[in-house]
Amino acid sequence: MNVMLRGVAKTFNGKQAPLVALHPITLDVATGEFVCLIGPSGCGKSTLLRLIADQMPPTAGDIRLNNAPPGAARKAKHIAWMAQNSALLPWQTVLDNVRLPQRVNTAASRQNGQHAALNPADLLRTVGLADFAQAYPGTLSGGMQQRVALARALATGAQLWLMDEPFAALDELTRETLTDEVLRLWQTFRPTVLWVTHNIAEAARLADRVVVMSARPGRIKAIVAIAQPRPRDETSPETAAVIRRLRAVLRESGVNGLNGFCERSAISV
Amino acid sequence: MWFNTKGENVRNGATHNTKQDVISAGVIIGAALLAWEGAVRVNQTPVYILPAPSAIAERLWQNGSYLGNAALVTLGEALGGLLLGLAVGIATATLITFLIQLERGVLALAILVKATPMVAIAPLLTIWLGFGPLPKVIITALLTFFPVLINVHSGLHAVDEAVLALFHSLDAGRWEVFRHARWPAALPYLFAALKVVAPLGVTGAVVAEWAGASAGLGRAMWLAYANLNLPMLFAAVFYSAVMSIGLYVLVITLEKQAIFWRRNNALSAD
Ligand SMILES: Nc1ncnc2c1ncn2[C@@H]1O[C@H](COP(=O)(O)OP(=O)(O)OP(=O)(O)O)[C@@H](O)[C@H]1O
Ligand SMILES: [Mg+2]
Repeated sequence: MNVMLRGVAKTFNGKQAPLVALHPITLDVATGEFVCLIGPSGCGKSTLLRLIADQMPPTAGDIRLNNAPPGAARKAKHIAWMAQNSALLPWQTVLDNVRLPQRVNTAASRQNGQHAALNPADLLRTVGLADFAQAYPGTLSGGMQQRVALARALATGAQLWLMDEPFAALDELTRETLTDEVLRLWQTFRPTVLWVTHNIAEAARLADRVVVMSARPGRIKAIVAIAQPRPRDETSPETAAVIRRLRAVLRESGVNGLNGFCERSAISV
Repeated sequence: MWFNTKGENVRNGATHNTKQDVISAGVIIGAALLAWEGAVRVNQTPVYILPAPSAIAERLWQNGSYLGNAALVTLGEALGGLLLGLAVGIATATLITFLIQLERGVLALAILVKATPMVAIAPLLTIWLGFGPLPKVIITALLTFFPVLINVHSGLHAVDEAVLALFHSLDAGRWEVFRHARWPAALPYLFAALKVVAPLGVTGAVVAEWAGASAGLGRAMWLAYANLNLPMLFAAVFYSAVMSIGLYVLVITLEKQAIFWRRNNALSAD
Protein backbone atom coordinates (compact mmCIF):
# COMPACT_ATOMS: atom_id res chain seq x y z
CA MET A 1 0.00 0.00 0.00
CA ASN A 2 1.46 3.38 -0.92
CA VAL A 3 0.96 6.51 1.12
CA MET A 4 0.59 9.94 -0.44
CA LEU A 5 0.51 13.08 1.70
CA ARG A 6 -0.20 16.40 0.01
CA GLY A 7 0.03 19.48 2.17
CA VAL A 8 -1.37 17.65 5.20
CA ALA A 9 -1.70 20.06 8.14
CA LYS A 10 -3.33 19.91 11.54
CA THR A 11 -4.37 22.67 13.90
CA PHE A 12 -6.00 21.81 17.21
CA ASN A 13 -8.58 24.04 18.82
CA GLY A 14 -6.74 24.90 22.00
CA LYS A 15 -8.47 26.35 25.08
CA GLN A 16 -7.06 29.84 24.55
CA ALA A 17 -5.52 29.87 21.08
CA PRO A 18 -5.50 27.38 18.21
CA LEU A 19 -2.48 25.09 18.40
CA VAL A 20 -0.67 24.45 15.15
CA ALA A 21 0.61 20.88 15.48
CA LEU A 22 1.62 20.22 11.88
CA HIS A 23 2.65 22.54 9.09
CA PRO A 24 1.71 21.26 5.63
CA ILE A 25 3.49 17.97 5.06
CA THR A 26 4.04 16.50 1.64
CA LEU A 27 5.49 13.01 1.49
CA ASP A 28 5.26 9.87 -0.62
CA VAL A 29 5.88 6.43 0.74
CA ALA A 30 6.14 3.56 -1.71
CA THR A 31 4.53 0.18 -1.29
CA GLY A 32 6.65 -2.03 0.95
CA GLU A 33 8.84 0.82 2.11
CA PHE A 34 10.01 1.14 5.71
CA VAL A 35 9.98 4.79 6.79
CA CYS A 36 10.98 6.05 10.21
CA LEU A 37 9.72 9.37 11.59
CA ILE A 38 12.00 11.08 14.04
CA GLY A 39 11.90 14.48 15.66
CA PRO A 40 11.74 16.41 18.91
CA SER A 41 8.99 15.66 21.39
CA GLY A 42 5.72 17.40 20.55
CA CYS A 43 6.59 18.00 16.90
CA GLY A 44 3.51 16.15 15.68
CA LYS A 45 4.75 12.67 14.83
CA SER A 46 1.86 10.96 16.63
CA THR A 47 -0.54 13.47 15.14
CA LEU A 48 0.67 12.66 11.63
CA LEU A 49 0.30 8.93 12.25
CA ARG A 50 -3.18 9.39 13.67
CA LEU A 51 -4.19 11.43 10.64
CA ILE A 52 -3.04 8.64 8.34
CA ALA A 53 -4.85 6.10 10.54
CA ASP A 54 -8.07 8.08 10.05
CA GLN A 55 -8.40 8.71 13.78
CA MET A 56 -9.08 12.37 13.06
CA PRO A 57 -9.37 14.52 9.95
CA PRO A 58 -6.59 16.85 8.80
CA THR A 59 -7.25 20.60 8.91
CA ALA A 60 -5.93 20.91 5.37
CA GLY A 61 -4.41 18.76 2.69
CA ASP A 62 -5.03 15.36 1.24
CA ILE A 63 -4.14 11.88 2.43
CA ARG A 64 -4.30 8.99 -0.03
CA LEU A 65 -3.67 5.35 0.73
CA ASN A 66 -3.48 3.37 -2.51
CA ASN A 67 -5.13 6.39 -4.05
CA ALA A 68 -8.16 6.17 -1.73
CA PRO A 69 -9.02 8.18 1.37
CA PRO A 70 -7.71 6.70 4.64
CA GLY A 71 -11.24 5.92 5.84
CA ALA A 72 -11.65 3.37 3.10
CA ALA A 73 -8.42 1.60 4.06
CA ARG A 74 -9.39 1.57 7.72
CA LYS A 75 -12.85 0.19 7.06
CA ALA A 76 -11.30 -2.57 4.97
CA LYS A 77 -8.96 -3.37 7.91
CA HIS A 78 -5.92 -2.54 5.77
CA ILE A 79 -4.28 -0.56 8.58
CA ALA A 80 -2.51 -2.13 11.55
CA TRP A 81 -2.15 0.29 14.43
CA MET A 82 0.25 -0.14 17.28
CA ALA A 83 1.39 2.31 19.93
CA GLN A 84 3.47 2.50 23.08
CA ASN A 85 0.49 1.31 25.11
CA SER A 86 -0.12 -2.35 24.26
CA ALA A 87 -3.91 -1.81 24.63
CA LEU A 88 -4.52 -5.48 25.39
CA LEU A 89 -7.84 -6.55 26.85
CA PRO A 90 -7.01 -7.86 30.33
CA TRP A 91 -10.12 -10.09 30.41
CA GLN A 92 -9.22 -12.00 27.30
CA THR A 93 -6.51 -14.61 26.97
CA VAL A 94 -3.40 -13.82 24.96
CA LEU A 95 -4.70 -15.93 22.08
CA ASP A 96 -8.11 -14.23 22.13
CA ASN A 97 -6.38 -10.84 22.12
CA VAL A 98 -4.45 -11.85 19.01
CA ARG A 99 -7.63 -13.17 17.43
CA LEU A 100 -9.50 -9.93 18.11
CA PRO A 101 -8.86 -8.27 14.73
CA GLN A 102 -10.30 -11.33 13.01
CA ARG A 103 -13.30 -11.56 15.34
CA VAL A 104 -14.56 -8.00 14.96
CA ASN A 105 -15.86 -6.36 11.79
CA THR A 106 -15.98 -9.72 10.03
CA ALA A 107 -17.67 -8.17 7.01
CA ALA A 108 -14.36 -6.50 6.09
CA SER A 109 -12.41 -9.73 6.72
CA ARG A 110 -14.57 -11.64 4.28
CA GLN A 111 -13.64 -9.19 1.54
CA ASN A 112 -9.94 -9.69 2.20
CA GLY A 113 -9.24 -13.30 1.40
CA GLN A 114 -5.63 -13.08 2.54
CA HIS A 115 -6.54 -12.58 6.20
CA ALA A 116 -7.70 -16.12 6.68
CA ALA A 117 -4.17 -17.29 5.95
CA LEU A 118 -2.82 -15.72 9.13
CA ASN A 119 -3.46 -18.13 11.95
CA PRO A 120 -3.36 -16.44 15.39
CA ALA A 121 -1.67 -19.44 16.99
CA ASP A 122 1.05 -19.33 14.32
CA LEU A 123 1.46 -15.59 14.90
CA LEU A 124 1.95 -16.24 18.61
CA ARG A 125 4.63 -18.77 17.74
CA THR A 126 6.23 -16.18 15.46
CA VAL A 127 6.59 -13.74 18.34
CA GLY A 128 7.76 -16.54 20.64
CA LEU A 129 4.74 -16.72 22.92
CA ALA A 130 3.15 -20.03 21.95
CA ASP A 131 3.38 -21.22 25.57
CA PHE A 132 1.38 -18.23 26.81
CA ALA A 133 -1.65 -18.58 24.54
CA GLN A 134 -4.00 -19.26 27.46
CA ALA A 135 -2.40 -16.77 29.88
CA TYR A 136 -4.01 -13.44 30.70
CA PRO A 137 -2.11 -10.28 29.69
CA GLY A 138 -1.82 -9.11 33.30
CA THR A 139 0.53 -11.99 34.01
CA LEU A 140 2.98 -11.06 31.24
CA SER A 141 5.99 -8.75 31.34
CA GLY A 142 5.92 -5.43 29.46
CA GLY A 143 8.01 -6.83 26.63
CA MET A 144 5.78 -9.88 26.29
CA GLN A 145 2.70 -7.66 26.23
CA GLN A 146 4.13 -5.62 23.37
CA ARG A 147 4.89 -8.85 21.52
CA VAL A 148 1.24 -9.86 21.91
CA ALA A 149 0.25 -6.43 20.57
CA LEU A 150 2.62 -7.02 17.64
CA ALA A 151 1.09 -10.41 16.89
CA ARG A 152 -2.34 -8.80 17.06
CA ALA A 153 -1.27 -6.08 14.62
CA LEU A 154 -0.10 -8.80 12.23
CA ALA A 155 -3.38 -10.66 12.61
CA THR A 156 -5.20 -7.93 10.72
CA GLY A 157 -3.18 -8.96 7.67
CA ALA A 158 -2.86 -5.25 6.95
CA GLN A 159 -0.56 -3.90 4.27
CA LEU A 160 0.13 -0.71 6.18
CA TRP A 161 1.68 -0.76 9.64
CA LEU A 162 1.45 2.47 11.62
CA MET A 163 3.64 2.12 14.67
CA ASP A 164 3.95 4.94 17.20
CA GLU A 165 7.00 4.24 19.34
CA PRO A 166 5.82 0.67 19.88
CA PHE A 167 8.75 -0.37 22.04
CA ALA A 168 9.67 2.96 23.64
CA ALA A 169 8.63 1.86 27.13
CA LEU A 170 10.88 -1.19 27.05
CA ASP A 171 14.48 -1.62 28.09
CA GLU A 172 17.22 -1.34 25.49
CA LEU A 173 17.89 -5.07 25.19
CA THR A 174 14.25 -6.09 24.75
CA ARG A 175 13.72 -3.26 22.31
CA GLU A 176 16.57 -4.42 20.12
CA THR A 177 15.34 -8.01 20.10
CA LEU A 178 11.84 -6.90 19.21
CA THR A 179 12.87 -4.49 16.47
CA ASP A 180 14.93 -7.30 14.92
CA GLU A 181 11.79 -9.41 15.07
CA VAL A 182 9.79 -6.66 13.36
CA LEU A 183 12.44 -6.41 10.66
CA ARG A 184 12.21 -10.14 10.03
CA LEU A 185 8.41 -9.95 9.88
CA TRP A 186 8.59 -6.98 7.55
CA GLN A 187 10.88 -8.95 5.25
CA THR A 188 8.36 -11.82 5.29
CA PHE A 189 5.13 -9.84 4.81
CA ARG A 190 6.51 -6.77 3.03
CA PRO A 191 4.00 -4.24 4.34
CA THR A 192 4.48 -0.48 4.12
CA VAL A 193 5.70 0.70 7.54
CA LEU A 194 5.58 4.13 9.14
CA TRP A 195 7.51 3.88 12.37
CA VAL A 196 7.83 6.71 14.91
CA THR A 197 10.85 6.58 17.15
CA HIS A 198 13.05 8.76 19.33
CA ASN A 199 15.93 6.42 18.94
CA ILE A 200 18.41 7.47 16.24
CA ALA A 201 20.22 4.14 16.15
CA GLU A 202 16.92 2.31 15.83
CA ALA A 203 15.92 4.48 12.86
CA ALA A 204 19.30 3.86 11.24
CA ARG A 205 18.93 0.13 11.71
CA LEU A 206 15.37 -0.16 10.42
CA ALA A 207 14.53 2.41 7.81
CA ASP A 208 14.75 2.71 4.07
CA ARG A 209 14.26 6.41 4.67
CA VAL A 210 14.27 8.48 7.83
CA VAL A 211 11.99 11.52 7.90
CA VAL A 212 13.39 14.08 10.33
CA MET A 213 10.88 16.60 11.64
CA SER A 214 11.50 19.99 13.21
CA ALA A 215 10.17 21.16 16.55
CA ARG A 216 6.53 22.20 16.87
CA PRO A 217 4.87 23.17 14.65
CA GLY A 218 6.14 20.10 12.86
CA ARG A 219 7.42 20.13 9.35
CA ILE A 220 9.77 17.91 7.41
CA LYS A 221 13.29 19.07 8.05
CA ALA A 222 15.19 16.46 6.10
CA ILE A 223 14.78 13.05 4.59
CA VAL A 224 17.72 10.69 4.92
CA ALA A 225 17.72 7.65 2.68
CA ILE A 226 19.68 4.58 3.78
CA ALA A 227 20.63 2.20 1.02
CA GLN A 228 22.63 -0.30 3.04
CA PRO A 229 21.41 -3.88 3.13
CA ARG A 230 20.04 -5.31 6.37
CA PRO A 231 20.95 -6.55 8.92
CA ARG A 232 22.94 -3.43 9.60
CA ASP A 233 25.79 -3.19 12.02
CA GLU A 234 25.76 0.01 14.03
CA THR A 235 29.54 0.04 14.22
CA SER A 236 30.03 -0.19 10.47
CA PRO A 237 31.34 3.07 8.99
CA GLU A 238 28.29 3.50 6.73
CA THR A 239 25.73 3.15 9.52
CA ALA A 240 27.84 5.26 11.84
CA ALA A 241 27.82 7.98 9.16
CA VAL A 242 24.00 7.82 8.94
CA ILE A 243 23.69 8.10 12.70
CA ARG A 244 26.02 11.10 12.73
CA ARG A 245 24.07 12.74 9.96
CA LEU A 246 20.74 12.16 11.71
CA ARG A 247 22.11 13.49 14.96
CA ALA A 248 23.35 16.65 13.23
CA VAL A 249 20.01 17.34 11.53
CA LEU A 250 18.13 16.64 14.76
CA ARG A 251 20.30 19.00 16.74
CA GLU A 252 19.36 21.81 14.37
CA SER A 253 15.68 20.88 14.31
CA GLY A 254 15.48 20.82 18.09
CA VAL A 255 15.85 24.60 18.21
CA ASN A 256 12.48 26.27 18.50
CA GLY A 257 11.56 29.19 16.29
CA LEU A 258 13.67 28.22 13.30
CA ASN A 259 10.96 29.56 11.07
CA GLY A 260 11.05 29.61 7.34
CA PHE A 261 13.75 27.01 7.25
CA CYS A 262 12.69 23.81 5.59
CA GLU A 263 15.49 21.92 4.02
CA ARG A 264 14.69 18.81 2.08
CA SER A 265 17.67 16.76 1.25
CA ALA A 266 18.03 13.19 0.19
CA ILE A 267 21.36 11.74 1.11
CA SER A 268 22.30 8.26 0.11
CA VAL A 269 24.99 6.58 2.08
CA MET B 1 1.52 -10.64 65.58
CA TRP B 2 -0.76 -12.98 67.43
CA PHE B 3 -0.91 -15.71 64.84
CA ASN B 4 1.67 -16.54 62.36
CA THR B 5 0.00 -19.26 60.36
CA LYS B 6 0.97 -20.45 56.91
CA GLY B 7 -0.48 -19.02 53.73
CA GLU B 8 -0.39 -15.39 54.75
CA ASN B 9 -0.29 -12.69 52.13
CA VAL B 10 2.10 -9.83 52.25
CA ARG B 11 0.07 -6.77 51.42
CA ASN B 12 1.18 -3.20 51.96
CA GLY B 13 4.01 -4.62 53.97
CA ALA B 14 1.70 -6.15 56.60
CA THR B 15 0.88 -9.81 57.01
CA HIS B 16 -2.75 -10.56 56.30
CA ASN B 17 -4.90 -13.67 56.11
CA THR B 18 -8.52 -14.67 56.36
CA LYS B 19 -8.20 -16.89 59.42
CA GLN B 20 -6.57 -14.05 61.28
CA ASP B 21 -9.33 -11.66 60.18
CA VAL B 22 -12.07 -13.97 61.47
CA ILE B 23 -10.35 -14.49 64.81
CA SER B 24 -9.64 -10.81 65.39
CA ALA B 25 -13.21 -9.83 64.41
CA GLY B 26 -14.58 -12.51 66.76
CA VAL B 27 -12.43 -11.30 69.63
CA ILE B 28 -13.45 -7.65 69.15
CA ILE B 29 -17.18 -8.39 68.83
CA GLY B 30 -17.04 -10.80 71.80
CA ALA B 31 -15.37 -8.17 73.95
CA ALA B 32 -17.99 -5.58 72.98
CA LEU B 33 -20.84 -7.96 73.83
CA LEU B 34 -19.25 -8.80 77.18
CA ALA B 35 -18.87 -5.10 78.03
CA TRP B 36 -22.51 -4.50 77.05
CA GLU B 37 -23.72 -7.40 79.18
CA GLY B 38 -21.60 -6.24 82.12
CA ALA B 39 -22.77 -2.63 81.88
CA VAL B 40 -26.45 -3.60 81.79
CA ARG B 41 -26.07 -5.93 84.79
CA VAL B 42 -24.00 -3.55 86.90
CA ASN B 43 -26.31 -0.58 86.25
CA GLN B 44 -29.42 -2.74 86.44
CA THR B 45 -30.71 -1.03 83.28
CA PRO B 46 -34.42 -1.76 82.79
CA VAL B 47 -35.08 -4.10 79.86
CA TYR B 48 -37.41 -1.54 78.15
CA ILE B 49 -34.47 0.86 77.91
CA LEU B 50 -31.68 -1.50 76.87
CA PRO B 51 -31.83 -5.28 77.02
CA ALA B 52 -28.69 -7.32 77.74
CA PRO B 53 -27.25 -9.47 74.93
CA SER B 54 -28.25 -12.56 76.88
CA ALA B 55 -31.90 -11.42 76.88
CA ILE B 56 -31.75 -10.82 73.13
CA ALA B 57 -30.16 -14.24 72.60
CA GLU B 58 -32.95 -15.81 74.63
CA ARG B 59 -35.56 -14.12 72.46
CA LEU B 60 -33.72 -15.20 69.31
CA TRP B 61 -33.84 -18.76 70.56
CA GLN B 62 -37.49 -18.73 71.63
CA ASN B 63 -38.90 -16.83 68.63
CA GLY B 64 -36.58 -18.30 66.02
CA SER B 65 -39.25 -19.44 63.59
CA TYR B 66 -41.36 -16.27 63.95
CA LEU B 67 -38.36 -14.04 63.23
CA GLY B 68 -36.95 -16.44 60.64
CA ASN B 69 -40.17 -16.35 58.62
CA ALA B 70 -40.29 -12.56 58.89
CA ALA B 71 -36.66 -12.40 57.77
CA LEU B 72 -37.37 -14.58 54.74
CA VAL B 73 -40.13 -12.20 53.63
CA THR B 74 -37.79 -9.22 53.98
CA LEU B 75 -34.97 -11.04 52.22
CA GLY B 76 -37.27 -11.85 49.31
CA GLU B 77 -38.30 -8.20 49.02
CA ALA B 78 -34.69 -7.03 49.29
CA LEU B 79 -33.47 -9.47 46.63
CA GLY B 80 -36.37 -8.63 44.34
CA GLY B 81 -35.68 -4.92 44.69
CA LEU B 82 -31.93 -5.36 44.24
CA LEU B 83 -32.37 -7.39 41.07
CA LEU B 84 -34.93 -4.97 39.68
CA GLY B 85 -32.78 -1.92 40.47
CA LEU B 86 -29.74 -3.69 39.06
CA ALA B 87 -31.50 -4.59 35.82
CA VAL B 88 -32.95 -1.11 35.31
CA GLY B 89 -29.66 0.57 36.31
CA ILE B 90 -27.57 -1.51 33.90
CA ALA B 91 -30.11 -1.16 31.11
CA THR B 92 -30.26 2.62 31.56
CA ALA B 93 -26.46 2.98 31.67
CA THR B 94 -26.19 0.89 28.50
CA LEU B 95 -28.91 2.87 26.78
CA ILE B 96 -27.29 6.26 27.42
CA THR B 97 -23.94 4.86 26.31
CA PHE B 98 -25.40 3.94 22.95
CA LEU B 99 -27.73 6.94 22.64
CA ILE B 100 -25.41 9.64 23.89
CA GLN B 101 -27.98 12.38 23.22
CA LEU B 102 -30.19 10.95 26.00
CA GLU B 103 -27.35 11.02 28.55
CA ARG B 104 -27.93 14.42 30.15
CA GLY B 105 -31.68 14.16 30.38
CA VAL B 106 -31.66 10.66 31.82
CA LEU B 107 -28.98 11.49 34.39
CA ALA B 108 -30.90 14.59 35.49
CA LEU B 109 -34.01 12.47 35.96
CA ALA B 110 -32.02 9.89 37.90
CA ILE B 111 -30.69 12.56 40.25
CA LEU B 112 -34.25 13.71 40.81
CA VAL B 113 -35.21 10.17 41.83
CA LYS B 114 -32.16 9.98 44.05
CA ALA B 115 -32.93 13.33 45.70
CA THR B 116 -36.41 12.25 46.75
CA PRO B 117 -36.37 10.98 50.37
CA MET B 118 -37.42 7.33 50.45
CA VAL B 119 -39.00 7.84 53.89
CA ALA B 120 -41.50 10.15 52.20
CA ILE B 121 -42.19 7.83 49.27
CA ALA B 122 -42.64 4.66 51.32
CA PRO B 123 -46.02 5.64 52.89
CA LEU B 124 -47.26 6.89 49.50
CA LEU B 125 -46.42 3.59 47.86
CA THR B 126 -48.20 1.78 50.66
CA ILE B 127 -51.33 3.88 50.07
CA TRP B 128 -51.18 3.25 46.34
CA LEU B 129 -50.08 -0.37 46.29
CA GLY B 130 -51.17 -1.84 49.61
CA PHE B 131 -49.45 -3.77 52.38
CA GLY B 132 -47.96 -6.49 50.17
CA PRO B 133 -44.33 -6.89 49.11
CA LEU B 134 -44.55 -4.74 45.95
CA PRO B 135 -43.96 -1.29 47.56
CA LYS B 136 -40.92 -2.73 49.42
CA VAL B 137 -39.50 -4.13 46.21
CA ILE B 138 -39.95 -0.75 44.55
CA ILE B 139 -38.30 1.18 47.41
CA THR B 140 -35.31 -1.19 47.39
CA ALA B 141 -35.12 -0.96 43.61
CA LEU B 142 -35.14 2.86 43.80
CA LEU B 143 -32.28 2.74 46.33
CA THR B 144 -30.31 0.32 44.12
CA PHE B 145 -30.93 2.00 40.81
CA PHE B 146 -28.95 5.20 41.24
CA PRO B 147 -25.57 3.89 42.43
CA VAL B 148 -25.72 1.11 39.84
CA LEU B 149 -26.54 3.56 37.04
CA ILE B 150 -23.81 6.03 37.98
CA ASN B 151 -21.11 3.41 38.50
CA VAL B 152 -21.88 1.31 35.44
CA HIS B 153 -22.09 4.47 33.35
CA SER B 154 -18.62 5.53 34.59
CA GLY B 155 -17.31 2.00 34.00
CA LEU B 156 -18.61 1.87 30.44
CA HIS B 157 -16.64 5.06 29.77
CA ALA B 158 -13.52 3.93 31.63
CA VAL B 159 -12.09 2.19 28.60
CA ASP B 160 -8.50 3.05 27.76
CA GLU B 161 -8.15 5.56 24.87
CA ALA B 162 -5.64 3.22 23.27
CA VAL B 163 -8.13 0.35 23.32
CA LEU B 164 -10.76 2.55 21.68
CA ALA B 165 -8.20 3.59 19.06
CA LEU B 166 -7.53 -0.08 18.37
CA PHE B 167 -11.22 -0.87 17.85
CA HIS B 168 -11.54 2.23 15.70
CA SER B 169 -8.62 1.08 13.55
CA LEU B 170 -10.51 -2.17 12.93
CA ASP B 171 -13.73 -0.27 12.24
CA ALA B 172 -15.43 -2.42 14.90
CA GLY B 173 -19.13 -1.86 15.51
CA ARG B 174 -20.42 -0.20 18.67
CA TRP B 175 -21.87 -3.47 19.89
CA GLU B 176 -18.48 -5.16 19.41
CA VAL B 177 -16.77 -2.41 21.41
CA PHE B 178 -19.41 -2.84 24.10
CA ARG B 179 -19.07 -6.59 24.30
CA HIS B 180 -15.28 -6.84 24.15
CA ALA B 181 -14.24 -3.67 25.97
CA ARG B 182 -16.90 -1.54 27.65
CA TRP B 183 -18.87 -4.17 29.51
CA PRO B 184 -15.86 -5.98 31.05
CA ALA B 185 -14.37 -2.60 31.96
CA ALA B 186 -17.60 -1.71 33.77
CA LEU B 187 -17.70 -4.88 35.88
CA PRO B 188 -15.37 -3.65 38.65
CA TYR B 189 -17.47 -0.46 38.86
CA LEU B 190 -20.66 -2.49 39.00
CA PHE B 191 -19.36 -4.54 41.91
CA ALA B 192 -18.17 -1.44 43.74
CA ALA B 193 -21.78 -0.22 43.58
CA LEU B 194 -23.15 -3.61 44.62
CA LYS B 195 -20.98 -3.71 47.72
CA VAL B 196 -22.67 -0.51 48.89
CA VAL B 197 -26.12 -1.34 47.66
CA ALA B 198 -26.55 -4.98 48.73
CA PRO B 199 -26.50 -4.36 52.51
CA LEU B 200 -28.54 -1.20 51.92
CA GLY B 201 -31.19 -3.32 50.17
CA VAL B 202 -32.12 -5.08 53.42
CA THR B 203 -32.32 -1.76 55.25
CA GLY B 204 -34.44 -0.35 52.43
CA ALA B 205 -36.93 -3.21 52.67
CA VAL B 206 -37.09 -2.89 56.47
CA VAL B 207 -37.71 0.86 56.30
CA ALA B 208 -40.43 0.30 53.70
CA GLU B 209 -42.07 -2.24 56.00
CA TRP B 210 -42.19 0.31 58.84
CA ALA B 211 -44.48 2.34 56.63
CA GLY B 212 -47.03 -0.45 56.73
CA ALA B 213 -46.71 -4.13 56.02
CA SER B 214 -48.53 -7.38 56.59
CA ALA B 215 -45.32 -9.36 57.09
CA GLY B 216 -41.55 -9.02 57.34
CA LEU B 217 -38.84 -7.98 59.77
CA GLY B 218 -39.84 -4.33 59.63
CA ARG B 219 -43.31 -5.23 60.78
CA ALA B 220 -41.87 -7.44 63.53
CA MET B 221 -39.71 -4.51 64.64
CA TRP B 222 -42.63 -2.13 64.55
CA LEU B 223 -44.81 -4.48 66.65
CA ALA B 224 -41.98 -5.03 69.15
CA TYR B 225 -41.42 -1.29 69.35
CA ALA B 226 -45.13 -0.57 69.92
CA ASN B 227 -45.13 -3.09 72.80
CA LEU B 228 -41.78 -1.88 74.17
CA ASN B 229 -40.56 -5.43 73.62
CA LEU B 230 -36.96 -4.37 73.20
CA PRO B 231 -35.35 -7.82 73.25
CA MET B 232 -37.57 -8.74 70.30
CA LEU B 233 -36.68 -5.48 68.52
CA PHE B 234 -32.98 -6.17 68.94
CA ALA B 235 -33.42 -9.79 67.87
CA ALA B 236 -35.02 -8.55 64.65
CA VAL B 237 -32.17 -6.07 64.15
CA PHE B 238 -29.78 -8.98 64.56
CA TYR B 239 -31.52 -10.86 61.74
CA SER B 240 -31.43 -7.85 59.49
CA ALA B 241 -27.71 -7.36 60.17
CA VAL B 242 -26.96 -11.02 59.45
CA MET B 243 -28.77 -10.77 56.11
CA SER B 244 -26.92 -7.59 55.16
CA ILE B 245 -23.59 -9.21 55.93
CA GLY B 246 -24.65 -12.32 54.02
CA LEU B 247 -25.51 -10.31 50.93
CA TYR B 248 -22.22 -8.44 51.17
CA VAL B 249 -20.28 -11.71 51.34
CA LEU B 250 -22.29 -13.00 48.38
CA VAL B 251 -21.34 -9.92 46.34
CA ILE B 252 -17.66 -10.34 47.18
CA THR B 253 -17.78 -13.99 46.20
CA LEU B 254 -19.46 -13.20 42.89
CA GLU B 255 -16.98 -10.39 42.27
CA LYS B 256 -14.04 -12.77 42.50
CA GLN B 257 -15.69 -15.00 39.91
CA ALA B 258 -16.68 -12.19 37.57
CA ILE B 259 -13.41 -10.24 37.64
CA PHE B 260 -11.31 -13.36 37.21
CA TRP B 261 -8.50 -11.63 35.34
CA ARG B 262 -7.46 -9.88 38.54
CA ARG B 263 -6.99 -13.14 40.40
CA ASN B 264 -3.34 -13.50 39.48
CA ASN B 265 -2.57 -9.94 40.31
CA ALA B 266 -1.16 -9.88 43.82
CA LEU B 267 -1.91 -6.21 44.48
CA SER B 268 -5.61 -6.28 43.75
CA ALA B 269 -6.30 -9.74 45.20
CA ASP B 270 -8.18 -9.72 48.48
N1 LIG C 1 -5.99 15.85 20.82
C1 LIG C 1 -5.23 16.94 20.91
N2 LIG C 1 -5.78 18.11 21.26
C2 LIG C 1 -5.00 19.23 21.36
N3 LIG C 1 -3.69 19.26 21.12
C3 LIG C 1 -3.09 18.11 20.77
C4 LIG C 1 -3.83 16.89 20.66
N4 LIG C 1 -2.96 15.90 20.30
C5 LIG C 1 -1.76 16.48 20.21
N5 LIG C 1 -1.82 17.80 20.47
C6 LIG C 1 -0.71 18.74 20.43
O1 LIG C 1 -0.09 18.62 19.19
C7 LIG C 1 1.33 18.69 19.32
C8 LIG C 1 1.94 17.47 18.70
O2 LIG C 1 1.62 16.34 19.48
P1 LIG C 1 2.09 14.88 19.10
O3 LIG C 1 1.54 13.96 20.11
O4 LIG C 1 1.78 14.61 17.71
O5 LIG C 1 3.67 14.98 19.28
P2 LIG C 1 4.78 13.87 19.11
O6 LIG C 1 5.70 14.32 18.05
O7 LIG C 1 4.15 12.54 18.94
O8 LIG C 1 5.50 13.96 20.50
P3 LIG C 1 6.19 12.79 21.33
O9 LIG C 1 7.48 12.52 20.65
O10 LIG C 1 6.41 13.40 22.67
O11 LIG C 1 5.26 11.64 21.34
C9 LIG C 1 1.60 18.82 20.79
O12 LIG C 1 1.90 20.17 21.06
C10 LIG C 1 0.33 18.44 21.46
O13 LIG C 1 0.13 19.18 22.61
MG1 LIG D 1 3.99 10.77 20.11
